[in-house]
Amino acid sequence: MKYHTMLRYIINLFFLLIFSIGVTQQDSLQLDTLKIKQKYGLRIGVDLSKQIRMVTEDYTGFSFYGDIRIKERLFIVAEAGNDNKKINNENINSSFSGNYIKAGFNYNFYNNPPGLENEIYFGFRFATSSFKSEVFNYLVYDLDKYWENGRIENYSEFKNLGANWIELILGFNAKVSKNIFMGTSIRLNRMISQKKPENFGNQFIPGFNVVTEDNKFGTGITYTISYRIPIIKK
Amino acid sequence: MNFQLYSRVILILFFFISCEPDDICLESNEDTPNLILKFVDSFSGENKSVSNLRIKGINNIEDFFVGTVDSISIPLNNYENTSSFSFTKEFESNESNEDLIYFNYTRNNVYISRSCGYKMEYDIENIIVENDNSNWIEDAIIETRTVNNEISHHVKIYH
Repeated sequence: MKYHTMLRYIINLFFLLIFSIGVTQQDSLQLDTLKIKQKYGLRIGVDLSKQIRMVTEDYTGFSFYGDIRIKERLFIVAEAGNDNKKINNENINSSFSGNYIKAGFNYNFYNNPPGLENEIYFGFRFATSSFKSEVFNYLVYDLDKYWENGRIENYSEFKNLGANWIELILGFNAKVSKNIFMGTSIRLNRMISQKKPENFGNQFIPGFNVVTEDNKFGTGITYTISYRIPIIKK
Repeated sequence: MNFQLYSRVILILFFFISCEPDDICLESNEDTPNLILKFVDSFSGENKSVSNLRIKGINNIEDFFVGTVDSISIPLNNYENTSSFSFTKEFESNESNEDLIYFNYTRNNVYISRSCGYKMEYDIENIIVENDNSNWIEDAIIETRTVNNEISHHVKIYH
């Protein structure tokens, strides 16, 4: 666990450096044209944080990102992905897998100097997830411990689970080269509803991330790299 | 507004978020219930304590209990549908008398929480006292078949 936390910090630091360099280059860029063409278009991308998690956790997954700029500051956003997470802890070895979609908008509140196309935005999403969970084995919670203890191998599967939630997002996107953007966001998730199985709990929900006890809130992070297909210029 | 400053603030917030909280199972959560036995007089049905009772799982090395009581809660084996106990009264005396007693049950796992995991609950099917021609236990009667709490006794032991 300690090792994984360390690794994640190192990866975070690595990204911090990349962004710092990228952003610095952007700021030094100067354009002297008076008429600035604002590019509108469809942007598609992937969330690289999933690939990082595949290294640091017992996890596989992917996520696609898409947005369309509809006004100068407003983007309509859709995200879709798949999460497959194993949770092995002292009590229960289990796994959670399923798909999710998120839709909403980003509002860019950053005033770009002429010619730059960076964004610092807040965003909102409505998200829904459909998933299943599995229990592989468990240790019975028994404080006496008089009998020989061991894990009970008892496979059970819980299908047709679901959850709905909203996300509040703070993030930024930096244009790193022509039509290529890199960005990151932090998310606060608030559960609206979830379908829990009969004799197990939703410890992890694809798209929502870790669900802590008696807590409607969760957090998420993304590192997105995206490509803008320039369709419209204004 | 400075883009660099803002983006760095967001990145710093990352570090706080990337620490996943761990839940801790508090001992106030009810664990797997024990089976509560009440010792009663076989004639009057009144509470009657057993002096110098030694309780031990048949294949266990350690004693579970030694003492004089009129009721006791014993843990059932979570890994099998039978718990085998040796109940010896007047332990380590000339009048020592050992009875073997078998509790047969079905087990149901019950999810408590992320941090505590599963506990076990039982449905007692029957209790068998092995006949050794000099049993001190006359009978064992199931009063509450479902063992899902430790509020009152589940079994009466007549002696």
